[in-house]
Amino acid sequence: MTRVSQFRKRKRNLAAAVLVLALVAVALLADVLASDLPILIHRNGVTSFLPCLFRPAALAGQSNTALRSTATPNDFAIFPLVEWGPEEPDLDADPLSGPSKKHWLGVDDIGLDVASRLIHGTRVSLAVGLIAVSIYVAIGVLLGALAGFYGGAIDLLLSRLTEIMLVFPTFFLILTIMGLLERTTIVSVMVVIGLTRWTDVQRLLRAEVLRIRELDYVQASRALGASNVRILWRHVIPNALAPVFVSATFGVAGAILLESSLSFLGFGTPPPTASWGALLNQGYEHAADGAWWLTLFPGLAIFITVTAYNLLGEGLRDALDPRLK
Amino acid sequence: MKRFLLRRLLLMVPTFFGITLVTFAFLHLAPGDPVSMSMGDAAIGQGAISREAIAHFRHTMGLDDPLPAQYAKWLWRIVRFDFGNGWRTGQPVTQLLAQSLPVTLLLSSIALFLSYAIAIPLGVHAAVKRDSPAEKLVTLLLFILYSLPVPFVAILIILLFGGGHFFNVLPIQGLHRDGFESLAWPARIGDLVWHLIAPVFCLTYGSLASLSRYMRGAMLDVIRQDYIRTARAKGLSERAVIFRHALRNSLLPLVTLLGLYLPFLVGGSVIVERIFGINGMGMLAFRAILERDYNVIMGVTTLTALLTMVGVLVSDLLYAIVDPRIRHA
Amino acid sequence: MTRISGQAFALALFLFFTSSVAHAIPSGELPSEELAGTPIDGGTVTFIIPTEPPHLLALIESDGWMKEITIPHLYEPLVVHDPHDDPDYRVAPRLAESWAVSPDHLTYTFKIRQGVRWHDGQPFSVDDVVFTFDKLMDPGVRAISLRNYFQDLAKWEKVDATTFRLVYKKPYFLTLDTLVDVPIIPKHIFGAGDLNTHSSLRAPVGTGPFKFVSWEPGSKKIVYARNELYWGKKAHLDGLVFRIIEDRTVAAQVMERGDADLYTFYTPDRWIKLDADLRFTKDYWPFKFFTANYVWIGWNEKRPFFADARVRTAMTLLSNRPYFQDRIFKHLYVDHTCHFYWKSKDCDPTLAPLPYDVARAQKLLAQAGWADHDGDGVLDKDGVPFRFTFLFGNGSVLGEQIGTVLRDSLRKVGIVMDLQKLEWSTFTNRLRNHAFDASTLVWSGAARGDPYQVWHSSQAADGSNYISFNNKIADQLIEQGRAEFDAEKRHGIYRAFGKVLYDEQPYTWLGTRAELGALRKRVRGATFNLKHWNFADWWIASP
Repeated sequence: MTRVSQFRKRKRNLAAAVLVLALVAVALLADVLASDLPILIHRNGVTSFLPCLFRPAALAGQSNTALRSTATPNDFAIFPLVEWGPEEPDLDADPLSGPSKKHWLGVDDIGLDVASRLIHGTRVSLAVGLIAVSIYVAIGVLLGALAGFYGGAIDLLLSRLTEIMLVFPTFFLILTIMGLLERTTIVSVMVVIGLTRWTDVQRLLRAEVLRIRELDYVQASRALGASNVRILWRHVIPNALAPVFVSATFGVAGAILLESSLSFLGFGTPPPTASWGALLNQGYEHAADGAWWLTLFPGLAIFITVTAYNLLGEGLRDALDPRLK
Repeated sequence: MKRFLLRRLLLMVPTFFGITLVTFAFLHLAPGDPVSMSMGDAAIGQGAISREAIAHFRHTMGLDDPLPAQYAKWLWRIVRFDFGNGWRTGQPVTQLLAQSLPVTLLLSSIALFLSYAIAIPLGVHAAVKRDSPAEKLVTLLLFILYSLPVPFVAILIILLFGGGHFFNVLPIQGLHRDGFESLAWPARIGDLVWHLIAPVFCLTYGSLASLSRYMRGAMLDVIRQDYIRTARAKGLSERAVIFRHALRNSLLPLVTLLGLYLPFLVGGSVIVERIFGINGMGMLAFRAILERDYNVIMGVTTLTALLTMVGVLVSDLLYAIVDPRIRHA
Repeated sequence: MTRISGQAFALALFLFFTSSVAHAIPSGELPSEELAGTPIDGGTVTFIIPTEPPHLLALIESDGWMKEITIPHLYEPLVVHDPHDDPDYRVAPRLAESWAVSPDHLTYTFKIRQGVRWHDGQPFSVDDVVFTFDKLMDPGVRAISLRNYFQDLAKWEKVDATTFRLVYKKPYFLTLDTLVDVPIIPKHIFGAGDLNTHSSLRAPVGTGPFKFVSWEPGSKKIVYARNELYWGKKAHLDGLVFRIIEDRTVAAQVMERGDADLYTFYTPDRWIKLDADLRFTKDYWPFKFFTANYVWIGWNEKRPFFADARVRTAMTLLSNRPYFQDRIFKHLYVDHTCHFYWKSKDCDPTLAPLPYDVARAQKLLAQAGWADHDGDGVLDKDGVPFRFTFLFGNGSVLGEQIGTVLRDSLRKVGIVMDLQKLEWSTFTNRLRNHAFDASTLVWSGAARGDPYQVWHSSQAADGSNYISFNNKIADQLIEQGRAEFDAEKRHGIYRAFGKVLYDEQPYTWLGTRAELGALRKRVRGATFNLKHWNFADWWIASP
């Protein structure tokens, strides 16, 4: 049985994969799903495709609402699912009003549409999750494998490095980097999380490698004359990745939650960019005002992400586990 | 074993210097310094202070010396156990640490203990009763908990259980009630526990999901191995197989993780401390960083570094005990 | 069981409907009975403050709250502002019984009050005053911001056992006002040891109507008691407790529980709902009061966009004032265009804020040469597109709100405004180095102010004139005002100065927001304007 069919065997895995793909799709299509401009418009005899994406000069300063109210019978347009831009305040809506026909998931304290911000926030949050975690898993796996497999001076050096990194609070580094960079963006949040959180993975992997390199089949391939690099790549790392998968899948959601904690302390995604963390933080600030929609919907989004990634991670793990073949 | 210990202890010295050096460098690279920061709004207010006055004070504080000289000076003081005084409050850093550390240790050690105590059985259950409805339900609940942001949960507890419109069953600020000192010992402990419920809950619930998932993964790994099959084949009861053979080996990754939780143990949580009005290490460090209170930051880092290194060592030793196959290279 | 389900039902109602109920904006005036009646002694007041003071000696670098809760309640200055004299807040005697000013306004001679005792029973004398100034002027003492106001102080000396003299290099109309912030400290306590790290910083000994009792580390509670040795009218309250709670939601909840008597840091959303909360208003009065602060958006005149007064005026016209008033400030504020305390006679009330007027703004922009020449949807002039960055500091919720709304209004007329939030120290650095296009901040003022630091052209280099405002007439008026000791004449000068600012629109003025509080009804005799807490006059009506 191939690993792919092994993975596909379980319905749960498939569902998880579909969910993750759906999240990625929402992130990629955010501009089409929720925008202040239509998907297609024919106006004054001119047709423009995807103005929500290309933002033609002819429509500068326009919005769905304005276009709708000034439309003539000859005009037509296809509007996006959510007709509000993520950074376009609805000046007619009461700030902090709940779900309504106009704003399906309510508005925040500046009159921004929560649905639109949630959709666009998917992009930021998934990017934070995936990129930050990819960076730190890559670093952690490499350093952990090297330390565990070669031992000796390399292990000594790398383990000290890990210990040094372990001590630093992530947000302290973010603070410093935010201060050093002229212009901070969401990228700095990702990179900083990526560069500082690899210690978990490194320690986990090192421990696994230490265990595995003593196992019979590794000793056997060594006796058969396999090179170190080959043993490491073919036998040791694949078998040591199991706990890392759990760590990485939680890491994606962890990074999203970390971004929200940073928002709470004032160091998250800078405005006006939408992110789930910033929404959750608003939900916290207005908890006593009864603005449950500011917490429920981003919370739900995080829940779906965590669950989907986790099931996917465990499915992959099971599929990759050579002992299950 | 003795040689291993000695070696590790000696290795701590360069690591320690590495940590302090990196902190020191970062601190001075970050914009702002205690002189400009402590004046807070005054620095930017209508009565803005002249650059000369700031420069003068920086000079008297030795902040315009070259960085290596400043670092050397700091090291020389540390060697004599002189951590200096906090810039903001003027108190000795050792006093600040002595006030904050016990509070944080108390909170986070209880939280850590509870996390493990709850997550390990949950993880074992999830592995053994894989795919049962009960396992699915527990997993779902844990994931929901994991998705709830701590600030929101904390404020919800305060709004729902802290009097006002709903239930008045929990205290919401600090760790003691008024007149705590006049209480008898049992009453004191009762009062403390009562105050600890909410913050400890907030520190615990989020880690259950990941910890139990680790445990489940590790347990599944072990169960599939030959010696477990052998044990089963020998006719041992499932209980005995799981608890006598599998559990011990599957604890390995969790022991490793324990080492990683140590900075948290000492560092505390800014969010929980801020919301529940607890003056612990988290708030101390956070405030010090915002205000560039160099002495306090260096003090916190030194302490955290020392305790973390000891913690990593302990977790490595534990590791060796749990897994006798590891040799100390 | 019914109790529980009733509460669960209330919870559901709370979660789903609290925000949808429209609340009328309460007036926030305290009823006259609050100041009526004959004071009786006894009782304590618990006051929630939002920041933890670093220590309790306002001579050393501190924050606003610490100064407010210590001067003149624990430590007393030579003179104070009369808290009941709104809006003039004239200077009144305290540890100085009286004073005389030389005709050239350079020498101030103070008669020091006799028979005053420190809280520990030691006698207070003119030597303590000299000691205080020794410390204040000592460059090694961490009193940088306070010392800044005494740069022109030439000499401080004891003349005889009851007389103290200050000699200045330059006459200055605010000389007496600066003394209000200098707490006189005991020589016998602070004489030995380093003042910056003195252990008594957190356990003060003063002369004020209240004395320090305790501040347990970690308890977040500062306790005062009545000073029975006080030289003047003794306080009515037995004690005062300051509870430190940083988080606004938590503080509001502590008030809901009835654990505190006063909190003054509500968010508008929360405060408006207090009034409708009958359970709460049974025991508490929600109230509002004002300070001399104001919110502004500054346009950096060194940038090509904002050098032209017409463009700056257009920016003000594009600021959606009705929206700010309605949705952000919730009408809990005073709209004005004055640099000074809005109630003071330095302000000209006829200079009304400019309205939100997009058409007029577009006309002004066109006059200034800004049009969409290249047809890309963005205004440009000489090939420079109108695109700039709006800077604000971390923690400025207002900056974020104003920025988002302004950004949307500007986008509709073809101006691109990016938002940038910076960590506070980076933000202040950028302002000081004039490295910004536009920014927003709150100026915290006093009853009387000197516009020199903010508006004089010389202060662009090193002062608070971050936007590089440069106007000859304004400079002249500012200099004239500094040396004018006749209050009436000075009001005239400052009103003329206000008119210059109004025409130039270097700032977009967004008015003064109300401070929103709640006070337990049995606490009487309290006035709040400009945060002159008159704790010594407070008393508790019998329940």
